[in-house]
Amino acid sequence: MTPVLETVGLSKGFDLRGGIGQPARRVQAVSGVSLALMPGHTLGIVGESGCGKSTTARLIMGLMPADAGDLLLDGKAVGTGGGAMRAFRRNVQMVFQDSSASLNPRLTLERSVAFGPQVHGLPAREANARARDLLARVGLDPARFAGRYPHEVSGGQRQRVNIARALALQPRVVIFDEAVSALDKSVEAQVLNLLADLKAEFSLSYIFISHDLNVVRHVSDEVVVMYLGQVIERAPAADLYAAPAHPYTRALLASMPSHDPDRRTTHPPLTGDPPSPIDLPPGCRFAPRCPLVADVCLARAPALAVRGRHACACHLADAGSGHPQAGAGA
Amino acid sequence: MTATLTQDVPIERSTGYWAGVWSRLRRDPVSLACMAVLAVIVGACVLAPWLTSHDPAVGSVILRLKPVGTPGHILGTDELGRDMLTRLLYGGRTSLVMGAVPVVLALLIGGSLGMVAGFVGGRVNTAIMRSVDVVFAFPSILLAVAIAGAMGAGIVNALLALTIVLIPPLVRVTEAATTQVRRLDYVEAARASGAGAFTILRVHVVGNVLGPVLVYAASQLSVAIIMAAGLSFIGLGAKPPTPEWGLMLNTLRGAIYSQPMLAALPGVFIFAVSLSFNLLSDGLRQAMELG
Amino acid sequence: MIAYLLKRLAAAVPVALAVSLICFLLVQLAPGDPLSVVLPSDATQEQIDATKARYGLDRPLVVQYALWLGNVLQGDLGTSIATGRPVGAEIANALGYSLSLAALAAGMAVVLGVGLGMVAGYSAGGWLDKLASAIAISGVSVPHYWLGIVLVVVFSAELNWLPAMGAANGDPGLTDRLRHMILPAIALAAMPMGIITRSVRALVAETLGREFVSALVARGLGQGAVFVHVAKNVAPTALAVLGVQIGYLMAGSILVETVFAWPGTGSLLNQAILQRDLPLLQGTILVLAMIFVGLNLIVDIVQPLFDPRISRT
Repeated sequence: MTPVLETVGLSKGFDLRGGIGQPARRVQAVSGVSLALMPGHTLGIVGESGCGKSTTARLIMGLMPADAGDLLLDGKAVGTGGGAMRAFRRNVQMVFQDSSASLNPRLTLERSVAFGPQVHGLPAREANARARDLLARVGLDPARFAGRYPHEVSGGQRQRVNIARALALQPRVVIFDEAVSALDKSVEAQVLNLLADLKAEFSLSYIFISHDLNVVRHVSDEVVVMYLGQVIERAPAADLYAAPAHPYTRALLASMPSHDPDRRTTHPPLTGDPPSPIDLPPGCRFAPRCPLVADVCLARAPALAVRGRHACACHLADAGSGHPQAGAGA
Repeated sequence: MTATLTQDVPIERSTGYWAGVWSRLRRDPVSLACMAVLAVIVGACVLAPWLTSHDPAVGSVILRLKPVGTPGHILGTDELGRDMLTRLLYGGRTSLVMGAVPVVLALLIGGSLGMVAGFVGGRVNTAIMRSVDVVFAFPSILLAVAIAGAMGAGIVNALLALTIVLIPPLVRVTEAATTQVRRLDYVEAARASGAGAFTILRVHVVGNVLGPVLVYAASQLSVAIIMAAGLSFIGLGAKPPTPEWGLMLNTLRGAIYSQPMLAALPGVFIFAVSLSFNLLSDGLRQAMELG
Repeated sequence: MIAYLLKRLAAAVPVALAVSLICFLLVQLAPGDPLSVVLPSDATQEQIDATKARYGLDRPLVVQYALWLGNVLQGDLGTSIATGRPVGAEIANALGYSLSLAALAAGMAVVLGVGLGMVAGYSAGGWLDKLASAIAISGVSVPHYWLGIVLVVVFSAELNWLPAMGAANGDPGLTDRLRHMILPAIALAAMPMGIITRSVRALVAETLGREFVSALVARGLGQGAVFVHVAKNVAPTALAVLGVQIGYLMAGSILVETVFAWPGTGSLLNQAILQRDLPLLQGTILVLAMIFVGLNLIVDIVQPLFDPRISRT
């Protein structure tokens, strides 16, 4: 089956301007990220702050130009020209994290949702009608909400509007970038249920980015773990959570607060702060914090070792890597 | 997806942002007073031909420097025997235009440059802002006098000089506001919808940047009127016999000892207009803050 | 710190050059043929060409600029067309008068401005605040030349306390000098006073409202200590505003000097404009603009001493 959306080797770096007497430095935000989203599935992307998940989302959406890598829609490469981008954006849309600035404070909720379709040529009357339909569909009564302004509604309601806005262009893929992270837990649950309903009703595929491991497990079919701009593990959700292969993933999962009072997690398995993506070490990027680090880890960056549907970028998982504990099983 | 005809259902509409600002502004007594004062002065100047039967250019040797309250000449006569009220009303037209036109032009030119600089960023931004910095190295009055002085007296020259002087601060204010707005999520979302730069600027940026820019422009009106009249005061700008408040202050200086009230009268209007614009700018800022 | 100093100096050089370029180009704006001032209308082509060569007007603009700049850096600002005396000398004479007037006006503006601003900030919302703010905004809105006229009307024409015009003649004593300076200084000081008051008021109100002040008071710090903290926070920005305003005082005094016939650089400018004396105009503007650039530089350098948040690298 062809993935509906696929990226191959996406990379992006930023130059930091040096001061006088300091050379310019490069932040390698995303390095060689390859993802595949299957039709009707939800692909979860997890990682700490600064791992490049949001940058990846923006690269996919074309909000910034990639340094390298390919983007494929239904197996066909997406061009970089203006017309190709417009067509692409009718197929792939994004929902941002709720913030007070996710909606234009000067536009009514209806106009915010109708903006996208109008840009693509729908006359105002029909765009507004579609906007009202979508508002109703996400659970906001158009008679009460269409003429309101963003500051007059709650965070959860704003996120519903953001979802309606994303759906207004009738896309096939929706990317959620920390879309529920700022919501209260009860509201978050309602929104996640809404997303599940919408996915079924409109035959959508989702990419769900979050730092919240519980939520990602709940919604995803496949999960990708990112660290310092790289994909370090990729597996079906159940497999990842049951048998994580990469030491980072294991530490991440172990650091989730336990729900069982008899088995409290007392000390964090991951020490140190997440390092900055400037001045990256030559070998494996996780080596400085890895409890199982060996010499080969510092010398050579591991390739993505694939076993069935489970892929892991760690010398441990690669029998021929030279790591003393390699091949000893996940 | 079937489109249901929900557009026929009546929708509650909240008060828009600008409607809210206006209603708050209306209710502030100081702002209201300023708007009234400005309306009266501007209105009177516009309606000058209907409010007075005298000719602003015609004087009378025997009627020179008559004091305020002279029958037939409510506000007295000037040093050439021309009716003061008439000269003030017609002069107001010149002064107000000389103050307002540069601000409007600077708003259009400077505002556009600032928005482009803020929105596009990068080298374009650096180029525009560095050029603006160079003009900023000059104190504004000096630059206005320098340009007008070099080009010679005349209303058009003064307008040009003032516009050039007023553009840089407007570029700065607009650029700062635009840079701030550009980073917000709703602008990113608009880009993600596939909208082009012009559409994004029109729908999302202008409305959100207009606020602080208008507040600043209102205070600039106050400065512009003072500078325009000031240029005419030193002989640049309006030339005799054109009536203009600043010019009148100059020509009436000889009457300081004999008719001090007359000598000071044109300045009262400059002060009133300038003060009103400044107070209005403050009021506008407050009305927007509470919104 | 030395590195910071040098950096700021280095940054000021291109600004100064740009300013000099603008001054040079100003004259190009002037309508009419600059030669018509020195040549009779029936001059032959040879005479015209010779004069052009002598003034360097036959060279390309860039070369003219370089030559002019070279002269300026050696202190030669050209010769006044009207008086025939060197421009530099004329400016030097007038500069002293303008500087003393600006100093007095600056002093008034600072004392009144900071004082009123503090009062307004401390009593934010109260009637004192409203009064101080009303004075401030009047100062900002008043046309300073008109204020000068009104002052003359009141204090000179009506009350006859103070002289209306000019600087004191001959070799005046301090009182006489001051008597001549007071009215123009007040007129000049009005706008900067207003601006300083408003800036200080905003800063004080904002500082007092910040949480760290409440924390200080909660720890039992008296009002005096709080005041010191407020002053330290307000000082850097107030300094910057002051610096800019002094610059305006120096450079923008033309209108007030005209009202009072004060023999400073402003009057010189006035004279140059009336008589179309382009070298004098250009030279005066150049000197005044450079003083402004210099003042900004000083503010730039002094600010980090007051505000540790501004990096000294």
